[in-house]
Amino acid sequence: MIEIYILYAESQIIWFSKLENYRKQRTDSAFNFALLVRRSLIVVIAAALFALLFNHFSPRGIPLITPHRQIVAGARQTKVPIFQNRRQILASRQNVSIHAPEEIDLETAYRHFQNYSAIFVDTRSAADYRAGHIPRAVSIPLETLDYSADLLPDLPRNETLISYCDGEECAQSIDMAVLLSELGFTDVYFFFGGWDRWQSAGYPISVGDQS
Amino acid sequence: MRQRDFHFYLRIVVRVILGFLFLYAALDKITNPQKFAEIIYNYRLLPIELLNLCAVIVPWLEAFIGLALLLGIWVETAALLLSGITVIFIILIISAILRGLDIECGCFSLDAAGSLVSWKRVAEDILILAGGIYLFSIQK
Repeated sequence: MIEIYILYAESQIIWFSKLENYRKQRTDSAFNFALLVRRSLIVVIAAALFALLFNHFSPRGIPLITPHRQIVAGARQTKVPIFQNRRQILASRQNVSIHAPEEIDLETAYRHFQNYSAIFVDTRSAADYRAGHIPRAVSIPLETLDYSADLLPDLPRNETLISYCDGEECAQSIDMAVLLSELGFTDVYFFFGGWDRWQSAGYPISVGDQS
Repeated sequence: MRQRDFHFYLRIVVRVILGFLFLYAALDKITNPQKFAEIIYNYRLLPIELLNLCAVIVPWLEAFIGLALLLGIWVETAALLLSGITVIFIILIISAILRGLDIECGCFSLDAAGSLVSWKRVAEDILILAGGIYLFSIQK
């Protein structure tokens, strides 16, 4: 009886050592694709879960689906994100009624320019502005705008504002127009053709830091 | 034998450098997801709805990869993920340059000054990618 047990134990030991060898070979092999994929998935999922948890409890957390609104630009429907810092600015100014900004074309923009009937807001970078801009335009680079500061204090409340950027590839003109109307400016337009159209039309330009 | 020792040490050095780099890159984005979302928006590639989700998850993925490399846990996996994510970054930056976008890179720091997309950023990312591939291909 005891002998049978010993035999059994021996066979078990041999089996185990074989299994160990087999496992070692597997993990030692240079490229274990399945293991790599499994671990990658674990890391990605763990990071995502952790990120969602952290974002949920963090005071600086943001909504997971970006809040946005639809803007009509020409024949196109453009979606514009509403970032949280802008919403906070909005919340601090309660009695603001939002007028959706509208697009204007090159001719209308030029008419406003000739009649001194609007203030142009250049949303491009300071360097682009310096290289050339619509005369008398105010430079407010959207890219580096400090949303926490008191925004755009110098713009008059009751004038027509026209924002523009490079041209049809950029959306800063729209972003700026939306932002301005969120801040309570009521007569806001965006010139979607922007600097490209203005320049190719041969209309006057200014160069340098001065508006 | 000497050859193997050399790679043993180089592996640790590359691992720690890349680990620190990714942790550092992640920190700024984790503390300011809003700013990071705006930077991703400027690339004009992602659907608007997904901007925030990306801005929340990607920095933590970077942090996990950095931590794994730094601590030497699952190095092959982390190196693979690092290489993958860096390839995506390289493609994004190059596409931004080719489209003439003059935007913040959002690579390491979210500060506006001096971190615009440029070929220098691409070169940096290629170096990082080289490190990732090295870690992935060299065995313990």
